[in-house]
Amino acid sequence: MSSILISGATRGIGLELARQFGADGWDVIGTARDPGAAGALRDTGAEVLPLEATDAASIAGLARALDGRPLDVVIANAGISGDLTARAAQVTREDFLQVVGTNTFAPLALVSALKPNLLAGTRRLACAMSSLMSSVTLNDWGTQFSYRASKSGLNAVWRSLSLDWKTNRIACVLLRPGFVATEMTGGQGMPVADSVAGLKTVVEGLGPDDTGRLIGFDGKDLPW
Amino acid sequence: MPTILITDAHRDPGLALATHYANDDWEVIAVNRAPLPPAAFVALGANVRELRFDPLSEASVRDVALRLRGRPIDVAILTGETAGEPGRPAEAVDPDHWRDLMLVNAWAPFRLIALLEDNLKAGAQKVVAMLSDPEAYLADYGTPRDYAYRASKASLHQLWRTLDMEFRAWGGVCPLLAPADAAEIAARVAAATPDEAARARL
Ligand SMILES: NC(=O)c1ccc[n+]([C@@H]2O[C@H](COP(=O)([O-])OP(=O)(O)OC[C@H]3O[C@@H](n4cnc5c(N)ncnc54)[C@H](OP(=O)(O)O)[C@@H]3O)[C@@H](O)[C@H]2O)c1
Repeated sequence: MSSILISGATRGIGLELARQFGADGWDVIGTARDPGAAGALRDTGAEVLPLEATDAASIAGLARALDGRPLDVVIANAGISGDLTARAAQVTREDFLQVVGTNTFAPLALVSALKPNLLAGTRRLACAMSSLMSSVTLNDWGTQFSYRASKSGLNAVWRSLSLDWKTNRIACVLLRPGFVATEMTGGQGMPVADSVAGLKTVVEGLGPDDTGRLIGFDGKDLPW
Repeated sequence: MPTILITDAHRDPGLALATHYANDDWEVIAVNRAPLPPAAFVALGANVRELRFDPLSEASVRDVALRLRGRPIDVAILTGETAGEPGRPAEAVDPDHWRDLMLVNAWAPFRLIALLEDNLKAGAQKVVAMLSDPEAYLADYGTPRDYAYRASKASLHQLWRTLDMEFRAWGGVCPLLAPADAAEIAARVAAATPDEAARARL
């Protein structure tokens, strides 16, 4: 049975990933900041483990809990939007640091801590949730300073990681879910089930040669 | 006399740019992490005003903005960065070092310009150029690692492009310029138009 760990699986895209991979017979571990409030995740049949993605001790705790267990796929999905509407002068240092801490640094810390598990797995996929907003080339309307910066930073990190872990044959792939109706978007966008169905197909088809790519739920690559 | 603000003008490439513009009769506001070398201070003459700037400190950015309140700035050129730790593996990336690189390389230049928006609006040329190697965001690396540095530069490039979109509303242009000698950079700045910025932005 293939296994997958999804961070930030209490709602939105993470929860739906847990549901769809679980329904397809995968062994799913979903993380929650507050496992006591993760009823919807538990209802999918997933195993729930605690994780505050920005806390080194919490990441270490997760790695300890999973010690010796192979993981085929890790998806660093937990993310925050920060203040999406702030104009340049209104963006605060706190917002910037919190958003890049959660969206850029935490995914690297997570997959690094779980590297032994990935190495013990067969598929060896380290995925992170990027976004259309990460693309500098396609940025032609501005806004979302902290969020955009965090996802562009994430892309650079993952590209670098893809080279670093080539020798380990761990493929490091960036995913773009599209514009999806979740709490993050205030319920606007496509149904989460549609985005995740696409993402699942993409993830299932990934192999070592896909390392370093930024792929959408529709299977299309995005420019940097 | 036009006014230019240059960050990290205490050393090249900022110092070469400050010298170029001062010789060309611009007033130079040097916003520096470290003091200008005494010989450079003398050589730059009466056209230079030096302000100290700690990119890790919000109070310091605010102080620079306060000191420049009401002063039109025609052109700003941001230079200077902190190098990373190229060989450090992913498992050993240190959160504090990461945070400092993000603040120095990405946040501080963005924050400084955001707080100087009114000064730039009041300037004639309205160019806010970031001197940074576009290669840093092509994500087409030949070597692995250097995670914190690469993240900071990618974030910076995206912040700059986003700034360019926002400043367009009042005619501002925010190009990313690849390193070159001072005369070449000055020529590119002089020719910067919104279309030019679009091309320079990768
Ligand atoms: N929705 C879109 O249109 C869209 C588009 C592009 C990319 N994305 C990306 O897709 C991912 C999921 O987004 P979503 O729309 O599903 O967002 P969401 O509904 O807001 O869900 C975010 C999830 O991340 C978790 N989380 C946030 N901060 C965390 C932290 N510090 N530690 C641990 N968990 C944390 C949340 O847990 P709690 O329940 O504990 O808060 C929640 O489970 C994000 O990375 C987002 O940037 C979304």
